[in-house]
Amino acid sequence: MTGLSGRVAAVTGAGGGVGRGIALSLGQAGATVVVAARRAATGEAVVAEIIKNGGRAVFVTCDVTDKGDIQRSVDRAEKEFGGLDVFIHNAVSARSSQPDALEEVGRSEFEEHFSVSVRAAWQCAQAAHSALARSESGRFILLSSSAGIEGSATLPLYSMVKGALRGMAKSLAREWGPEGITVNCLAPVARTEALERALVANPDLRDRLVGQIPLGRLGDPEVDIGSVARFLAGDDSAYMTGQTLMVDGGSFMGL
Amino acid sequence: MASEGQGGGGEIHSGSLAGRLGVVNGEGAIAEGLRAALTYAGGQLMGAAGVGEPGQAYAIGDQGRTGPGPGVGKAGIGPVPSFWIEVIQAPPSPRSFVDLDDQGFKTDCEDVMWMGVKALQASLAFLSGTSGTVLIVVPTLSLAGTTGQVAYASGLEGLRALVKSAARQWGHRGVRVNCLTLAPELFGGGVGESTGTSLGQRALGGTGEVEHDIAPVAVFLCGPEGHFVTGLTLCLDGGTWMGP
Repeated sequence: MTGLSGRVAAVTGAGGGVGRGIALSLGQAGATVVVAARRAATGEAVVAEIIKNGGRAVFVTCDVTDKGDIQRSVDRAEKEFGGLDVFIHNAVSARSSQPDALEEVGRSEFEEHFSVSVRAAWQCAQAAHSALARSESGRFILLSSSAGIEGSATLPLYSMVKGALRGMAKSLAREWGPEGITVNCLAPVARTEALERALVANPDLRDRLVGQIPLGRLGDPEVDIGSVARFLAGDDSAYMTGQTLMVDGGSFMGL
Repeated sequence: MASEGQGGGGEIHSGSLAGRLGVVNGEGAIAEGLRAALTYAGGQLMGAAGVGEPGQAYAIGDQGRTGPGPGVGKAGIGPVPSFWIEVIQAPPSPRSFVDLDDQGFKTDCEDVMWMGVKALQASLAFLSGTSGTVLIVVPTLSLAGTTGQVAYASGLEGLRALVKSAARQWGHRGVRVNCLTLAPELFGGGVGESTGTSLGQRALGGTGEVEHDIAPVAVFLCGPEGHFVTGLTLCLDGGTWMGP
């Protein structure tokens, strides 16, 4: 297991789903985790779980559409733990799984996706840059999706913002490379609360979804996705930047 | 319009787009070169059709769009709406990502993506009831990443994903959606000033000339021979970017 002892990591959207899995995994590996989430109830629960497992974590209220919240997450890491080594922007719009007809989407739908994924990623980069540059192993990690690479027949705006994050990672990796900061994307397929709700509402979806996964199952946010995030956050990935790691059981093999 | 360009270039056959009505939106040398070539190929552009000037009849905005007008493109009355080409404009000079202010990020990234959404919506309205082709024309910057234009490259990569989604969503209507990526230098503005890409030597030399090297591919995609091509990113940069 990649050790992250001594590292400080912030994770947005860490109150549930993939973000929670990543936060737990980083905590398990020894990182101090800033659990940045909108709701205290879920965020505090993740913190408690990390602490219960012997780790160290704090909760920070963070709506990523508020750049003040993002800045406070970084400030908390620096003031309380002396720095920030890893920033993972995982938060995604609540609309992310709602189908859209592209010809019908308006500015409000666009804004919901764009503000949480892309604008927030930029503001996360702005807030975290100085701290990551001071770290000896700065890591900036964005959550993308295979939809951002191959498009989606039902989720055009989601695919667009996830594609934009890939573009951001590639270019920012070049811009921040001289400062020793790596920038990568992680594109997961995982079993989350939101997905489970969708599967309950549409049981056929499970078979169709799992049928497209060569490994035959949805990923576990902590065990399957968190472990790759841990790799990206650690020393073993030090020479890798500007990349997108597909963690989807083999669903997408186009790269 | 046989090519005299470097390395040979393509040849556009007069009449290959006969009976097809289209729009080429955008300013600058790329849009102008495409208009000339598509007209030579027999395509009728909105401006040439007298419906409105290119880039004006379907000006991008938040207020929606109107159709091409009564009678235009109806069987037996005139050419059929068949293609829409959108050339995405260049942003200002390169600047550090973290130093961008709110307006800079909006201009370089958000507006690029929103413009892409509106352009695709307009193209579908234009092609309504007919099959056809939509081409989004962008620089290659986002493919390998670039310094100094991170926000713009983010927007461009978002557009590429959106093009694929539109292709998947509209394929059953007979609407094809593709992306052309060209050498950044062709776009003017600050686009060609970017540094830090891994794009090395151009295998075919040079950036390509719009009328000789780029337009023949656009004509192919807008014509009958391109009827089974959709969701593609065609990189026309003379063999520089060769990634997956």
